[in-house]
Amino acid sequence: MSGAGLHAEARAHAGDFELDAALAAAAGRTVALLGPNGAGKSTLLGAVCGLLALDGGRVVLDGEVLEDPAAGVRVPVARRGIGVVFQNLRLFPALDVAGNVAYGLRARGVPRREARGRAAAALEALGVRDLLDRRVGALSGGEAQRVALARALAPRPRLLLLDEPLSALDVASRGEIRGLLRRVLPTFPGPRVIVTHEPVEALALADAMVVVEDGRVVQTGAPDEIRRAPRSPFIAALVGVNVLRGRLRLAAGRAVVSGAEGELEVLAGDLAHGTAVLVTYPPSAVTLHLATPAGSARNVLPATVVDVELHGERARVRLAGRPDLVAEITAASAAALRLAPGERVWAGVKATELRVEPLS
Amino acid sequence: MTGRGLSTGRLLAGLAALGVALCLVPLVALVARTPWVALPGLVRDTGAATALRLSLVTSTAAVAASLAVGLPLAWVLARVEFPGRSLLRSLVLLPMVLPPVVAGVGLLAAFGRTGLLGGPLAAVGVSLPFTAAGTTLAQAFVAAPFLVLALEAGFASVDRRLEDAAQTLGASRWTVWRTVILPAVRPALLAGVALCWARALGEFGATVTFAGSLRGRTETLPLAVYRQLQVDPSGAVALSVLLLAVSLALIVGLRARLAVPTR
Repeated sequence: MSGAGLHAEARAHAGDFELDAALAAAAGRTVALLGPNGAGKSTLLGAVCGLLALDGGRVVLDGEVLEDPAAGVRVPVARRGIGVVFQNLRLFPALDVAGNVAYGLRARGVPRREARGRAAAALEALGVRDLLDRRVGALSGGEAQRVALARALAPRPRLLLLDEPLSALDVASRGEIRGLLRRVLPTFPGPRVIVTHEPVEALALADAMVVVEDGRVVQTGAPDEIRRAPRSPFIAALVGVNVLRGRLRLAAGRAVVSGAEGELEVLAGDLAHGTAVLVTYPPSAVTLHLATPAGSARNVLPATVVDVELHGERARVRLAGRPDLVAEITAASAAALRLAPGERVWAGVKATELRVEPLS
Repeated sequence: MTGRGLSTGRLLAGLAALGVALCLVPLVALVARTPWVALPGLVRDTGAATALRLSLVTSTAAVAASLAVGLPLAWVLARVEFPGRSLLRSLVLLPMVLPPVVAGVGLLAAFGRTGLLGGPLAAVGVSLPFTAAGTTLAQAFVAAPFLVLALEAGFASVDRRLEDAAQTLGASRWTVWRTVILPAVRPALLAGVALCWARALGEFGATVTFAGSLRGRTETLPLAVYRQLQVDPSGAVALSVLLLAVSLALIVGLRARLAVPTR
């Protein structure tokens, strides 16, 4: 519980909701906090930044105890040095963009001119210096998101918390801001925690993943590790998606994503040739066959059964192939196919079932 | 249906026009009856300047006093949960519905020479009835609820999440107050001050009952108008126009402040 980074064990309550969760993030690393709506992700962030008082446990940042109810320690929110990008941004409507971004510096006594200069630099780093004199109400969703990020970063916090930074955005600006985060987050020297209920975001942005359910941590680990080996059907449903990272190739009327792990034919939409993309698809979109299925308007891949897990009426079948994938089929079909480890099968995935997200 | 809708519309428009007329006719009559040429002389001879000065001083002091206690009270009512909050809220609003003369009698019962607190206060050399301070107290008593009501609504509408965001950015409580809460309640504050001030400026019953109507000491402009009406109606009209002008200036001034875009 010491050294650089964030170490939090938070026991707290908000109304009837009970939180009892640990969260650790090393300096220079991004942790994704994942869970369904109402799981307590935002509550955990609130407990870390001090907006929600702990009942027990402690919060330690870079070796400094920020909160420890047992020892009577509670550093005020204003002195924690934690930057927060809130889910609904919470920009100050009475201030313009410059006033918002300079707010944290002004609150710490930085002279007006210097604060404005540093606000401009913070916006510049996010490519939106021209927004400086704009009114907050006149910003687009993506612009407001950048301003909120600049506002959180400008006072140079020790820890950065982002609460569902993409949820309020339309699909187009979502890809844009995700790309921005992929570029900007690595330049932030402290630990980063990003809350999301979208596994795709966690896979695209995070080094580690913490899955929360009902106020408790149910699994932690590297995103790919959790994705491949979800500890419960719930986690499987939440993050157990199939993933292929690669580049989009457009040729002869076909769009193919090829990566180190294999390739899949997709619907490219308006993405350009050569775009780095993340392809995700749920295990329920994978069908299994003993022979090549007829009518091939889909991806059909030869694969080898690694193992079969039964969860009630559903069976989760892990397959080795190019790429590796997981199929979720009914227990009845699994029995009918007589699936067993080592068995060679054909896995089918419709291109329409594949979700393609640009990575930059 | 169309014809009936039309006639309903006409009826409503007629009633609305009647309402406007009710508001305007007395004002028009007042201006029409004003002896404009003799006005400066009348204002001078009736001691209006003294009464006006007293009115402005006491009503301003009453607003200041209302702010001093009303702002924390409004904050507590809007932000602090405690048993009996709604009861307290009703109690605070009571002076608004109380007949002013009853308010004056109540103040006498409390602060009069033989009143509940009057004796102890007199022992330390403080006597409120029939002083300008008493006039101020009476005005504040009846006018403060207007301020509290407006401010409480203002505080209740402040977005707490913005306060939280400000805190994470390193803002102290005072900075949060100055930069987040105050800008958000500014319209409510100005509206409350305007109402409170207007009520204090026009107060008659409570001040005359508690502080009397001593020329040059506790005779505010409304009291001077009433006295003048009994001896010289045209003088009363002149003073009324003066009071009307002051009220109008107050409303226009505050409306101009209110109209400033809050961005």
